[in-house]
Amino acid sequence: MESIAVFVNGSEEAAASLEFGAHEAAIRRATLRLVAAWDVPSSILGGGVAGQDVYDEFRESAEKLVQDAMARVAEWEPSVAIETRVVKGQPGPVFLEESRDAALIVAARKRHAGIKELVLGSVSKHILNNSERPVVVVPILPRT
Amino acid sequence: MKTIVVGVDGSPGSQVAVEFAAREAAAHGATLRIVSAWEVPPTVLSSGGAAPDLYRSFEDDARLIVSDAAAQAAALEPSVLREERVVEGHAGNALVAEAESADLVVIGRRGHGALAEFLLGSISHQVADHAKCPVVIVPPAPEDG
Repeated sequence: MESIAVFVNGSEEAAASLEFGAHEAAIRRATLRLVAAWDVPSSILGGGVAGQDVYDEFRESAEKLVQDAMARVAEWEPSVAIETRVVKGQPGPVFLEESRDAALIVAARKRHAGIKELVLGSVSKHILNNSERPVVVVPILPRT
Repeated sequence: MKTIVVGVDGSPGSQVAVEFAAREAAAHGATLRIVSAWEVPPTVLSSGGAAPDLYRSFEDDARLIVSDAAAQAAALEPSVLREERVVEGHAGNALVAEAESADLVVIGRRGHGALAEFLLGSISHQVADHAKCPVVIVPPAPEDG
């Protein structure tokens, strides 16, 4: 079965991607693949090594985002099958790797601080420039 | 989705985009609007203006590109309603304008590497950055072998 990949990070643009991906998966009878990336920021590591509990905390936070996203999809499109990938690493490379076999990858334009224009975020740009799969860029705008 | 726009320029990349758009239109029961933009290159204009024949030939080329794409879509998804549109102007601007009355815009992406990224910047990024509706960027078909 084909899958549609959506990146989950709790942002407004990720929510727009999620909604588009959920409806698209329902129409195509595709599996919706929710991908989240997590890592312990180097500012926390401070050149040292963090304890296992710190790693657990960041991983669990990403897992929680994915679970919340699953709950929203279940509300919008109860029939859609969902699979999840919570992976340690940088968002762009993780999403690229985990969407390698997707029939469609959903990316989003985000609001840019200070200007009205919507712009591609760094994850979306990484996907758009590197993916060998079709990518849909979803704007955050009121739908008609 | 009621209207899906696909931008075409006759390149292999735009054939891949037409295929994606036709399948998508069939899945959604949407009308497929096939759009090609043409313009006389500024280099021609700056060398003293273009003859009316030249304009005619650019427009004719665009019509042919659109009708070829429509035939390709019809072969893939015969049940999909099709519209053909030829627009004078820059392709990026034309597709952003078409997006005003569309639910989805589909365009092809050129190959890989620095040049591809530069070209992606010129049209695909412009459309993806400015269109009011979602934009699908379809990469080139994988090379054989």
